[in-house]
Amino acid sequence: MAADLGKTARPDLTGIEHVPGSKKPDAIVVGDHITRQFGGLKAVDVGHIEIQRGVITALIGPNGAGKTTLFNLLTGFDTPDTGEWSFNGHPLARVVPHKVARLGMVRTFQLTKVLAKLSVIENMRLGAKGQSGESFLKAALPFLWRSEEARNTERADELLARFKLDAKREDFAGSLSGGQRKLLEMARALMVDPELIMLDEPMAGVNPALKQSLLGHVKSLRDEGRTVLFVEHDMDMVRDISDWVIVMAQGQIVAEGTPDAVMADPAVIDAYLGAHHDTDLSEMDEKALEAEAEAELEAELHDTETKGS
Amino acid sequence: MNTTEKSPATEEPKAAPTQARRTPPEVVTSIVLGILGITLALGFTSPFAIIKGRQAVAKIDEDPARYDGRPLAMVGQVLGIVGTVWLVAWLVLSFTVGFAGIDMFDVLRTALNQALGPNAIVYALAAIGLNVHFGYTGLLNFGQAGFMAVGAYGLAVTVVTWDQPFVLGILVALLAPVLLALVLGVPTLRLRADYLAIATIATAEILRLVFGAVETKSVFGGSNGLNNYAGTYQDANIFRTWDVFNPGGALGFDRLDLWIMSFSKRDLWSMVIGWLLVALCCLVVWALMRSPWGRLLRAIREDEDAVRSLGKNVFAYKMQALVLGGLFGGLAGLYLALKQASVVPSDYSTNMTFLAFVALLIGGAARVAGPVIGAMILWFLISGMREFFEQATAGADPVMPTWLMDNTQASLIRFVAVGLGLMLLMIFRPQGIFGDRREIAIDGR
Repeated sequence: MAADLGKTARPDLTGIEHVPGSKKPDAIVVGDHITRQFGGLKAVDVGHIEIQRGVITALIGPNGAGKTTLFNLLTGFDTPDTGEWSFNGHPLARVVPHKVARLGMVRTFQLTKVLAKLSVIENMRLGAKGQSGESFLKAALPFLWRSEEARNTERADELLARFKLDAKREDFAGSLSGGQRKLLEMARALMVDPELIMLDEPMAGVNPALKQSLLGHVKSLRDEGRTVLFVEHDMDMVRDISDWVIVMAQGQIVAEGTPDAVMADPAVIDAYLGAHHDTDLSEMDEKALEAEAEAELEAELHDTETKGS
Repeated sequence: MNTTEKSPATEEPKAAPTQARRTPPEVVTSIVLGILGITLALGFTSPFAIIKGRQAVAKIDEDPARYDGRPLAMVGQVLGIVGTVWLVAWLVLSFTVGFAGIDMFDVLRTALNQALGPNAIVYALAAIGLNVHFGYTGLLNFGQAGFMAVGAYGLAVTVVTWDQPFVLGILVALLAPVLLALVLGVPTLRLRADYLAIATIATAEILRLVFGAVETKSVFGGSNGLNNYAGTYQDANIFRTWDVFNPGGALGFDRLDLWIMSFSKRDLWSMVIGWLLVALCCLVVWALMRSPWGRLLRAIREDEDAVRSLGKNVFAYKMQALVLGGLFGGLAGLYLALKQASVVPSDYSTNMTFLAFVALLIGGAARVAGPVIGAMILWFLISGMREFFEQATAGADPVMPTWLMDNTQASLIRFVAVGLGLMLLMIFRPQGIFGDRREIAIDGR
């Protein structure tokens, strides 16, 4: 792992003001006046944003709030109409995506982008930075890159073991389940050894059994000194693991704060969580669904009986 | 694997005994192939009718509760057996005494000559280039003929029009496709794949028309093209002066006759050079594609954004692939110019590109040997079919009924057959001969 990722104590966030765009003691990303317009819709309109180094920051908000668009803008996959932002003091406006990634700011995608027709281990090897075997002139001469490849493979195997994907090492990545793909994408991003890892909905489509282990993995990223920024709809996850929450609505940052404070904020509750934010919606739904299904079944049974006679 | 698949299948009929029994698809396939075999397909589909029929019967016997149609499957098999017997008898007769005026031995010899001869080599080289573009990187280059044209004209114009030495001509021929790739790549490679396809096919046509135009006749020779530049190549022919069996003496024969094949000395020389070139290109592709560089190309083929997010400069790698494949295309053009000792613009039409694609798809994309084997099979088929149909329609009383096909249609019908064959290939074996079925089967992201 990178030498510059010191395992210092987690920064204290208690002193930070709970207002949109608040100043952070040690910001890794600082952005100003970032806007992106799609036709008549202002998808992103962020006045000021700072992401604290060494903690897990959650970016939440209703659908269409501009979270993923902001992700795309920050990582260079989309170009904003106005605005400037920096990573570790390095200005990033109009920097192409691969250069952003090389600086140490690596993202994953909402719809996982594992390379289905490459094996799991090849997916991992692809992530390694600065491979001399990827140079056209050296590629045909294996003795120039073989030892480097072996080192990368070793590191990849360690990560696969950590993410419990080592049993799938030689399988095509396309044969993995949705949750395993999320894990592979995260592990592959770690091959780049990023300082800031940006996860776009890491829990979407992941079964509950795998969710717990995914949560653990995200926490472990912070514990080894990386900064994590993630977009998520799953409130349990946000409450569980994030140190700081930024709430977006209609392209703007509407609130910021620690998870508990944000979820108690009436503005956030109105805008996003709704009145039922304390009851477990999924459980309620289940009961309602069951009752509905039973009624349907009975009706059907009755139907066939009358037809049969 | 098999046991786990079987258990639910055998339980199913018990759970749903009223379910209608259906005919396995193999039954229909078998009957269609069987009928084709004894009519249009001259027996060639009959062995497959037997195979499919047997598969169908096996399926029905294994699970009679789910499938019916056993009698029909037997009909398919019988049709297949009849057709196969007829095919074997016909082939034996054709090869021994000649059958109905068609010399099958001659057909086979023509086909083999072309499969190993210089024409197949031209397409093999062009298809190796397309394999780098399309097979490995996913770049849709529909203008391989353009790369070939600049290679061929690079040599001819340097030697004939500018009166420069032959070696310089070769250098220009290798440099021109590289430049073309750069010019095409800079504006289009940042865009979606479709744009490259449009730009390349348009550029190839523009180049062909410019090379054949009256206005540029003084440089490119108009529609007659250029010749008289390949002297150095022809003079270097070792078979003119050198005899394998009699060192020092002149070669004692005009043609090399190997019973089933026969080549002129000129072709023999072109074949030695050509197959060496093909081997060299395959070696380069093989060495590159097993490296991390090759892995990157395959990754780009699947998802550019994923590769970008890992800090790789996708544009640069696509450009490198375009240049490398274009260089192979230019080599194909250069080789074509050398082996036929003249460049004519009409040789570099879109047909050239599309047939090279056919060769690639037959052999299997993203496999080193795929384009080479594909080009050999393609030339075996189209030259064999031409010879066959030409013989079948020749003379005052042709074998083929004239209402079905006459002599003028004989050389065209083979392309109809190639098209049909390509469709069947895409349906039943989309990965080509060498491809990996699993790679095609996985399509989820």
